[in-house]
Order: sequence, then structure tokens, then C-alpha cells
Amino acid sequence: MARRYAFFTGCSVPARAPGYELSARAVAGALGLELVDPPGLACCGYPVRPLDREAALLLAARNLALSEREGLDRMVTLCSACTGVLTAAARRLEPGSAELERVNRELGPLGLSYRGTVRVSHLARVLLEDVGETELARRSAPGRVGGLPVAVHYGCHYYRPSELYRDRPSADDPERPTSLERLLRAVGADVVDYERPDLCCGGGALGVDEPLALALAGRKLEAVVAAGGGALVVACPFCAVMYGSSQRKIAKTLDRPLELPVVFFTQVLGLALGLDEDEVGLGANPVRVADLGARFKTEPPDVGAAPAGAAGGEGVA
Amino acid sequence: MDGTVTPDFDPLAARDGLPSACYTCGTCTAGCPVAAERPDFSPRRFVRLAALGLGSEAAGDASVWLCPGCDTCVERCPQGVDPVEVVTALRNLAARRGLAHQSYRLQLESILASGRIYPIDEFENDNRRDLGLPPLAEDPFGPEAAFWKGRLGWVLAPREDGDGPGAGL
Repeated sequence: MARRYAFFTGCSVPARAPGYELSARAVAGALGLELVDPPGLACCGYPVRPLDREAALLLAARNLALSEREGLDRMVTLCSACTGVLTAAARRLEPGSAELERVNRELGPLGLSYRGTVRVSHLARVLLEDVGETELARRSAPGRVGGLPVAVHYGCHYYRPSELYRDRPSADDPERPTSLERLLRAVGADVVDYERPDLCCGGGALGVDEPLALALAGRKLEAVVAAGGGALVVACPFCAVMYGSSQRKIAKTLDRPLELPVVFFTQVLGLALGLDEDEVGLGANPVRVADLGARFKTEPPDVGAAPAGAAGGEGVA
Repeated sequence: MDGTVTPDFDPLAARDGLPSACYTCGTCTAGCPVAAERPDFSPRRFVRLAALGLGSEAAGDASVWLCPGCDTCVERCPQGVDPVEVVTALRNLAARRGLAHQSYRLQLESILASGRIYPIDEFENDNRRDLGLPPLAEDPFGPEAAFWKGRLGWVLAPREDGDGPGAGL
């Protein structure tokens, strides 16, 4: 299948999560999804909302218009905050609506005009809806990622406000989302449950009250470790900043050692599809753990024709 | 102060989260992850102030910048109030009064200068090339830059009160 999508990385991914972008592009390529980079994409508007909501809407609309201009009616996002504002903007700017007319009037001096045709989806939903669990399972060899129990952090903007995503086949129950777990289980990952999967990473408060934000992030890390999670899977670069880049600070505050790898769902998918550690950028993640790629495997790396039912291998470190 | 207040916030504006629909059940605050850590923080309080039209008082409260926008309260409100949107509207009001939180002002400076909260320059593009990623435009706004400065530059106007409340948070 050759579906074409405008690829919206947002600001945080290139700066703070290159492994996410690398693995996203690699996984899309492996699955036959074409990611197009429309020229001129810039801030989605999320950090501008607290200052001027209308200007933020213009920033979002600008990106939608630029994608539309490239002949693309689908946009795929990596950052959940970008996903939220771009999805909300696309929803508000329905074709023929007064809102769309007003926004186009304002964007007129820029030579931009949005027709209201772009549908925005987080990459995880694109994979679930446009590729599907069956196809993903078919493309994943067993034994590549089942060796390390993983916990999934959904991140608030990925599935809330639920009314934004209600019309999606992969829509989540806002009190107990499951779509990312389905995605990971489809490719053979061992997903563990833990307390408070819905808890916010605190990223939205990091610039205002760092101890508060780190306290929130710390609660998640403690819950994951208590549940036996060997890695935390995230779907947003800022959640990764809170759990990964800030992990050392959190460990100090909590006065306990923490060495929990934080990986992006695309990195796990990539490994399952047969890509190697470098191709999915595991080394670019902030919490570096030796042989993480090997830990994911359930069989020894040099297995030839493994007998059916062969167990053993790396296990859980 | 003689106790009179002048309402300056429209509690009936659906666009601003419909604070007038609130019947103060407290479900929002009960599930709020920030309230769990900071007992003085309460989404219900901001909705109440907004419902009473007391925008300035709420906007001048530095804790209006603590909400991380997780939307847990939005999902659970039995009346369809959107406390996050209420808080956002109050922040917009604060910004118009020159009280925008410093962290957001800094991010805006970066956006107006480079189109992003984290600028991309040759250094980043060299790293991207080493990883096998395509280059990113260093100046995505291009000739649009003047437009965005015109539209949003007002936020960064120097404040009469120095850095004002919120800068030290």
C-alpha cells in the first residue's frame, strides 16, 4: 500500500528525540508508508496557546495549509501535543465554516489558503488503522521483542480530549486507553500493566515548576518499576524528556537508583520488524542501557533454525 | 479595596470552557494530578472565579500557569466544563495584561526568531546528516517572519513592573 502523508515532526523531536524520528521514518519505510516533508513546516502552535489562542490556531492552520498545498490530505504526527492542537485545528476548520473563512482571511497576506481537507493522525493510529495489527504481526518475527517486559505510557494528548478522537477506529477509552498496548502486542512485545497508566508526565509544567513536574514523572517511574517493567514505552518526545532525560534528577530527588530505559513505540516496532539497534536509533535515547536491543530478544542472537518451543535466551536483566 | 469587583470575564462563553455550567462538584480537582501534589492548586477554583466573571483575579494568580493541560478534568466533568480551556483563556487574559509567564515568553521569542521552540542550525543539521535524517530548514517562516512578529510581538513588550509575577515561579 502506498499511502502518502505529510510528516509533521514538530520542534521537540528533532531537538530532543532524534531516535524517534529515525525509527519512525524507518518503520514507515518498511511498511510502505510514504512520509513527505512539506517545505515550511514550523511550530504547531501548542506553546502559543497560553498566550494567544487565536494566533496559535493560525500557526496550526498554516501547517495544514502547507501540507494541503503539497497535495496531501493526511498528516501524520509524532509529538502528542502537536497531535492535539493540529487535530483540534483541523476539526474546527471544517470546509465551508465561518472559522475557516476567518482564518483564511488572516492568512491571506501570507499567500496561504486552507481548504479544510487534511486529516491529522498520530503515527501510532496510522499504524493501527492504515496498516493494522494483522499485517504488523505478519511482518514481525517472533522472538525479536518479547524478551523485555515493557510498560506503556500513553501521554495525555495522545488520547485526550477523547471527543477529538471519537471518530477514529483506534479511539481509546479515556479512562483506560489500550491502543498502544494493542500495537505493541501485535508485534510480540510483552506489555505489563501498572498503576496509573493515565498519569500525566508533568511536561506541561516543567518550565513553570520543575519540582512539581519531576514529582509527577517520578510517580510514573516508581509505578513502572514496581510492576516489573524493564522499559517504558512512550509516544511523545516530551514524555521522553520527562522520563528519560530527567531520570537522573528524579532518582536523586527520590533518593533511589533508577535505570529504566525509555524507548519510543516506533523503536520497539522497528526491532520487531527486523531493523537493528542503529536503524531505530536506540543509542540516541537518553537513558542508555547496555545491550538494550539484545535484551528485547527472547532467543539468543545467533539462533539458526530454532526448534519449536525453544525457550531461554536473554530473559529479563 | 472596598470589596466591589468588576466582572471582566464572560462565564457564558463556550469558547472559554463554559465555566457557568459548573455546579462545583469538585470532580475536576479530585482527579487533578497537580492538585494531588500541590494542595493549593484547584481547577475548580479557577472555574469558579471565571464563572463569577473574576477574570483578572484568576489571571493574576501565578498558579494559573501550573496546569499542565492533561485534560483529566475535561474528561470527567459531568457538566461539560473544560477547565483547561478556562485556564487557557485566563492565561490569555494574563498575557494581555503583561503577565505572561516567562517560560512561555522565552518559547515565543524562539518561535518568532526561528519558527521553532528549539532552533535548528548547521550544527543540528550536521548531526541529522550523521544519523541519516534529511536536513531541516533553519528558517521555516522565511518572509513570513515579519507577519508573525506583528501578530505576536505584543506578548514580548517590556513590562512596566519589571519581570512581574510569574517570572520567579
